[in-house]
Amino acid sequence: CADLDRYPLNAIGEPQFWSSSDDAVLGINGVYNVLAHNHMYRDFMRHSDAIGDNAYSQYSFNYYLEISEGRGYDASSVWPLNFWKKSYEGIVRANEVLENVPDITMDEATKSRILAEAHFLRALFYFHLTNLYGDVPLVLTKQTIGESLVARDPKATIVTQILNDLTLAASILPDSYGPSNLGRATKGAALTLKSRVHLYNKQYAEAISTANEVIALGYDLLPQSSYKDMFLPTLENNAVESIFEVQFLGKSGTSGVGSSFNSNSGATPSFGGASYSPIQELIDAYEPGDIRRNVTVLEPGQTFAGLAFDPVRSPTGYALIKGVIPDVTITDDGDANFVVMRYAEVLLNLAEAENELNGPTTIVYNAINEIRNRVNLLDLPGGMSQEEMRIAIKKERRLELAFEGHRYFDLLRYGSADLKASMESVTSVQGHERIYNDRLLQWPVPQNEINIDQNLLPQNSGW
Amino acid sequence: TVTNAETGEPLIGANILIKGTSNGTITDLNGIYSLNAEKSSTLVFSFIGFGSKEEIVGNRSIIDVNLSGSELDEVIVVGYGTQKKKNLTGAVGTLNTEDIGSQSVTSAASVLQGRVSGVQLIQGSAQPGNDNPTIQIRGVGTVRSSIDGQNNDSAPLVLVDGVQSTLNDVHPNDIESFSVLKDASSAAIYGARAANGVILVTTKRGKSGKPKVSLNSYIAFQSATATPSVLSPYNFALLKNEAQTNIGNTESYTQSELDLFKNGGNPLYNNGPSFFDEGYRKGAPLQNHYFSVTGGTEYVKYMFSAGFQDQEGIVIETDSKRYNFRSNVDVKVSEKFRTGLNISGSFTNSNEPNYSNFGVTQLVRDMIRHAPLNPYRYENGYISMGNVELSGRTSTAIHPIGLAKYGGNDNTKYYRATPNLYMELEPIKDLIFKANGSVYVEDRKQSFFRSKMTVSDGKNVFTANGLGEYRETDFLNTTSTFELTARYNKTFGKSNFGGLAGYTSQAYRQDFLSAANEGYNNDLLTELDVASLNPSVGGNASEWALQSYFGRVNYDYDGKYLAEFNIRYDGSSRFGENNQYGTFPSFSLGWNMAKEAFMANLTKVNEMKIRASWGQLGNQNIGNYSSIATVNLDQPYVFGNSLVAGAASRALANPNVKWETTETTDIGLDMTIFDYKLSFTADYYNRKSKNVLLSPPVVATLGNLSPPVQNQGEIQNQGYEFSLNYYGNIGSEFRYSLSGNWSHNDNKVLKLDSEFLSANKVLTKEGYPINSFYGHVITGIFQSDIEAQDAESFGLQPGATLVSAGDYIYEDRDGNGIVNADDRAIIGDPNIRNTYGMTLTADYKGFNFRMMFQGVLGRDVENGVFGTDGMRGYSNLTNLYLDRWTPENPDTDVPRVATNYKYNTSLFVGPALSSAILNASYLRMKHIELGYTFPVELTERLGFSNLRVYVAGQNLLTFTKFVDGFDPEDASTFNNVNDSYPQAKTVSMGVNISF
Repeated sequence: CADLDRYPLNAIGEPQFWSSSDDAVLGINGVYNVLAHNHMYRDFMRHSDAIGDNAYSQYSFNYYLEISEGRGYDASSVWPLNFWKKSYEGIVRANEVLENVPDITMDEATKSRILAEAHFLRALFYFHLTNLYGDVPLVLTKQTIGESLVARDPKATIVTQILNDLTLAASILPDSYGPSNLGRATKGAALTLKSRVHLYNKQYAEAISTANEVIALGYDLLPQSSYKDMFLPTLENNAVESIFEVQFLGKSGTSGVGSSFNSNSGATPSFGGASYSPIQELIDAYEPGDIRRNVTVLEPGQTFAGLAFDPVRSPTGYALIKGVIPDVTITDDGDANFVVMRYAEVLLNLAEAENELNGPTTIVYNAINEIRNRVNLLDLPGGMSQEEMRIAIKKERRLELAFEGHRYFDLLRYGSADLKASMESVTSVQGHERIYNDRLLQWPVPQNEINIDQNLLPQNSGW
Repeated sequence: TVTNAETGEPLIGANILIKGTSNGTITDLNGIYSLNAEKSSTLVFSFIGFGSKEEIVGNRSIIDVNLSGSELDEVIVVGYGTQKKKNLTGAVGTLNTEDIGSQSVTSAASVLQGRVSGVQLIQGSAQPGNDNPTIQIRGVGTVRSSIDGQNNDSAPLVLVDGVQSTLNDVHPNDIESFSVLKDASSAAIYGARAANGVILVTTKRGKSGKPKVSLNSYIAFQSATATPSVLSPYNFALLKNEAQTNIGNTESYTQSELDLFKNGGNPLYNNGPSFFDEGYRKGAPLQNHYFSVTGGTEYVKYMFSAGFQDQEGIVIETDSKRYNFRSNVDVKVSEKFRTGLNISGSFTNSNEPNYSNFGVTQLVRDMIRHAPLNPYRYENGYISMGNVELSGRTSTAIHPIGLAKYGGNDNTKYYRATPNLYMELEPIKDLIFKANGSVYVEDRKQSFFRSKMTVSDGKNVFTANGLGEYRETDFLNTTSTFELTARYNKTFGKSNFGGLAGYTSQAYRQDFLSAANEGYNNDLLTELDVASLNPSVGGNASEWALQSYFGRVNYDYDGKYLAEFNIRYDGSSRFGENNQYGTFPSFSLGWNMAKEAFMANLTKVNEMKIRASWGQLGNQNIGNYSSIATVNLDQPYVFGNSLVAGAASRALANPNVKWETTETTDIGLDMTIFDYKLSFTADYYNRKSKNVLLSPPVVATLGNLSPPVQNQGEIQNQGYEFSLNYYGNIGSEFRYSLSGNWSHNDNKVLKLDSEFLSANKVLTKEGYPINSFYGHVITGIFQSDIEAQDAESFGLQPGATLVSAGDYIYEDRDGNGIVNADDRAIIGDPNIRNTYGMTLTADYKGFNFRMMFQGVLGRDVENGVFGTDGMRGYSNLTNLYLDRWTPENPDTDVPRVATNYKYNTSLFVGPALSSAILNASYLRMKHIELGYTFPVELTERLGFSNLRVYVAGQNLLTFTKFVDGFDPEDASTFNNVNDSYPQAKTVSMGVNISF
């Protein structure tokens, strides 16, 4: 008689999992895994600057072009769905950890650290999600297909949950890790994200106090000479400025765990054409002497990895080189991490919140000038108005944090006037025209999801 | 004289052969024959549609025989046995290999094309070692097909001598016959695997008599049936300039550069042969040799064979060698006990270029799209990559021909072996027990070598194409089967009973192993050990098992009234624990009307049978573990600069999942008239798949998990099939036959809770054919910029302010003034509606001629992106664009060229455009052959009993309205044509020898 009971040979049956401390570690690692996906930090967060006014995404097949143009995409398009799906993948994996790990008999310190990591990661996923879609379903427990037809919760509820998760995470997570756990979420990461969340939600006093909590942890800016290497393997996870990085490992023999920053840049022939390229408007924004220009952008006539740059590889004539390893043999299997949070952002968060709350005080000037001086720029002139300072902070944030997953999200939160102006400012790319519409301030809830779950209606306005 | 036993009339053109030789003659107009034969020899008398008779010559000088049509007992192979054709009540298509002539097919399944009704076969490709056709029987019945609609989920079950395996490496000359089980009645005995139909292949076996040796050899020369024609360097530059000025950019190339492209003069500017001149071989050689010996005694019969095929591909750097062997031995130990051992095996070794790890189809694609502006090699001797003279104005990729030749090699080796032992015990007459055990082993070993290249842009020299990378993969598949059957036949008066009962168990396992290294500096040393940079390993395994009980009862009364009942009780490891077993019944009835007294006067009607069948079949193609919830351990992350394992669930499971049921009703008519000269078969069928296996989407808030497989929805395939054969003769020397078949199928999704859109352009929706093309309707081309911006009349076009004269008009179907996703419609049906075939044969003295046409009427495919994207970057276009819209050429359906303007192209990811949906109907001369059999007197002197030579051609003529330069018979329906390996047009010469 044949044995008809056949079980998978490379996966564990669900009832057998979540039984040991090893399973708990495997489970939390599986949540981090989502961060390294193309639809998160491996491509999207960097590529999103091409939806904003820093870059141009040339290929229609990856859809950024349509989103940046403000048309040709809608609720049925791929990107609103991609990011929604990936975010909930991370959220549900974190939920699984939070639901299953408490029952595992294991070292309590490790257990609570793992739970805190899960809280941090869940907050991070919800943060991006609510920034793009506004109201989204708040899912905190395991659901069956029968229970899955959820409705959306108000953005305020989501933000409260994010802040609760981060507060809890910050209270437990360690300041730093030993070598083998380098890359896990730290207390600094939870607090930095929290300051960003407060800032995004105009809770300026809280943004300031949380930023100060991070500052108190002893982070600092790296010197000018290290600026470029901060985004390269040379200085990855440095204990000075780096706060949280999505970890990539090149040439490991496993696909998808290396970064794709080289292959998308177009800087050398072996990288192929540029997926997204800095545009003239970004170049024009740099003040003379700003070292960030040449750290970020490769220009015609310059060389990279010993090779003259051929501008045919980029439709704008410029190639992005921030985080690009000057080695022609590395393409989509790079070792460069994605720097999600670093001390410069904390200073910018502080400056912005302080300026909004109290105007251009010395705290604001000090924070901004610290950043400017590091990149070879002079102090801002004294006596600026609050609005002038606001504009200066926005510009500093755009240049300092270019291609680090901020610009597009910043434009969305600045609101319609800024988004409109930024879209209309982009005129340098031939055959490319951006048309503003108020609906662009939020992404549509994916039609694909609404087709399955009518409770997700109503759709965001204008979509 | 040879006469008809029933009518006493002489039989004209009957065959008389001296047994064991090919020495013979045929009867004349009066049925008279004469022949010189030894006293000891036996004469074999035969006539098409009649039984044959053997007579020993002895001392006779006149031997008169009468042949009887009612003795015709053509036996065909059915599931777990054989059946007399006249008693058949199911829909079974058969093909004897003697009816295919000497068609030089490289994949045995290809001969079914155009010859068996109901079989939808697309050859697709002539790539050596990778040219197995896609086969569907009576349409697509399951949703779990890829967007190309013809993958394994809808492929029929193939059994070679009763063993589940593949036709891929069977030598065509080993095959005696094919039986295609099309309806539920004939296929139900295979239960949960038979929903897509079953193909039974029977190989040749030994017969009593002295050993007979056969040798078949041919050489053939293959060329592409169609070659894309792309813009020349000069036209490319000209159109690129136009594409630039059309969007307000400056021209890319100066007039003096245009002159250089046109007239040559500077070796940095390409004006050498086109990519296709260099990349496609004309007359690529193919040779095939086959040797077999058959014979036996009363106790032992044997057949063994060996085959060899050596094929060079039409595309450069592709080739394949195949070695086959087979040994079928039957031993009669006693009257009550028989046993036998069949062993077959093959080894196939195929190569293709690595082409940046993409393989040969990418090469074909690049030959279309690569800007033709740099030579293959620069004067410095290096392969070109980019062109420094045209920096910024041409492609920067490596020259396609250079990359194909020097970019590395992919090798695929198939090792296949099938041992099969049977034992038969007949304890009392007509009660036979049979035990059968077999293992089908298939090992696919592949290696992928990507070599590091040194290239030049005309001035600088640099390395490209990676680090020197090598990967090896190995898939080992074993299917072991054990079967036990008992069958019994009994006759009571005019009632005949037959019965069959059986048990079978089957277990399948696949083991996968892969390993890779980088850092190879030498193209000659490409083993895993040679380098050690970035090593990686991978491995996996999966299993399924089946256990089944089955039975069949036949009854006929005097050969007039026929009935059959089949049942199979199937258990599969793939189904949920709540649904492990399924029952698949079928029954069929037949009425041989010609045997009735009231038909007795219609002497021209030799046979007339009406049959009807009903039954249920299953489909278990749901993956191996769909019912089991798991946590996968393949979700790694990096900490401390080293990779650590991570775990997560990836899919939802459905413990209640079960087989898909296909219910088929078939009504058929078989007729033979005019002294067995004309036979006719017609079938109508209605094939409904219920509880269709599909994965309705679930919300992402469950964690972006793959949805579970569920049983939902209903699909119908409804159609009819005709086939007709006529045998005739003019005089006694000239005989001919004509046959034809036509199959029509309509596919429709009857019930589906939620529609499925794949790749943003292939829709499966209730009320429409499965996998319909979905997208925008293009109603024409804007003739002026004012018209293009006239949103009131045409709606705001997707390109908004960028739309100009020469662009496509997207139809605003809902008339709301804006063209968006709501304006999409179903714009094409990739399912084949009609297939047909016609064969003509003629014999005159030693000459024999054969010609076969095959066609498809009604099939839509989507044109591909490459060569049709209107110059989005520095990509080349097909010559179709010479007829593009310009103010001077307004009357065309080809849009303007415009750099980076994407709305005139059906892109991979965007919705389909109706302008890109092509009608892939065609009629082609699949096979033509002229042979000559030398007179026996001559061949006997050479020691042969038969010597025949022939010339043949395949795909020599094609009639189609398909897009120029591409073949309509391409397996891919989605983004078709421009990355497919070409089809072969083949001319062959061969010889058949036996002694």
